[in-house]
Amino acid sequence: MNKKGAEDVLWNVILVLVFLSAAGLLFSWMSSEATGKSIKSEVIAKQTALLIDASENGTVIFVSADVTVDGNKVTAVSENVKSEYSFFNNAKATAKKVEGGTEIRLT
Amino acid sequence: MIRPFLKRNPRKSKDFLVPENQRFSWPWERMNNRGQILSESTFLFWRIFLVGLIIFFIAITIGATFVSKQDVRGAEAILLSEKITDCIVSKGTIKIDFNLDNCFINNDEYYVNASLNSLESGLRNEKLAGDHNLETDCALLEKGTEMKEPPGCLRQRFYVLIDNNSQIEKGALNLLIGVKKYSENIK
Repeated sequence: MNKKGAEDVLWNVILVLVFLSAAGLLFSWMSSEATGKSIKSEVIAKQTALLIDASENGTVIFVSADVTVDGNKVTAVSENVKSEYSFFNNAKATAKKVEGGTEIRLT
Repeated sequence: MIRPFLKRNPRKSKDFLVPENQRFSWPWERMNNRGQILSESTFLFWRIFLVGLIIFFIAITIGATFVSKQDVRGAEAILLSEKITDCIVSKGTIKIDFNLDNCFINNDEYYVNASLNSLESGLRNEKLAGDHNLETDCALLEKGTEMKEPPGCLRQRFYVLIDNNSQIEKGALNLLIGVKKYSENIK
């Protein structure tokens, strides 16, 4: 291969690498969307808030996720994504980290 | 014979040692005439544009399917309805002068319209809580009006026993629950 041919190949390799990295980014985004990783924290926060809403005073809820309760807001963190959701239950909710998850106590 | 290349950066000493015919050059540097540069660059940008277009359409298609928020307002409205009925019912009856105080955390994200009608004496008591604009929004939604940010609405009717000053009457409790929480539930 002459010098010009080698340079063309190198140029094409650069282009292919650019396209492959674009495709890789697209694939990783699609994969995180399809597996639900991107909405996992949102689902945890919402389901926990609904559980609190459906519970009565004295109930202890165990959630196998990293959840905090501040006032009437549930905050869940999963895959470095943070989500919040509020609940309407007027019972006082306190969250405590326990082995394997979080314990939420309604008083 | 080694011909020093002085065009690029004369201050870099290694450039002097690289013969012009052996140094790396980008395709556009090797092009001689303007037409060649134009056609090559047009082809390059066309290729990039096509790949970009494919990626864009894949992202749009996938995005429409997956990037949507989980709307839990329907479930929330049902739970709120249960909470209110549990709160106002006492010993199987509802007092005619019931109130919604301390039944739930009342803020502008919710709207509750609870009206109690006696089917015997015709007595009526209505209690409202939360953002009253949701009354209209829910009515529009029920009529099938397209809304950019529709609320979550629930309308329920319970047949109940009313405690009218220790006199028990048959009645109906109509509940309208509205939940906003647009940003958390709508894409």
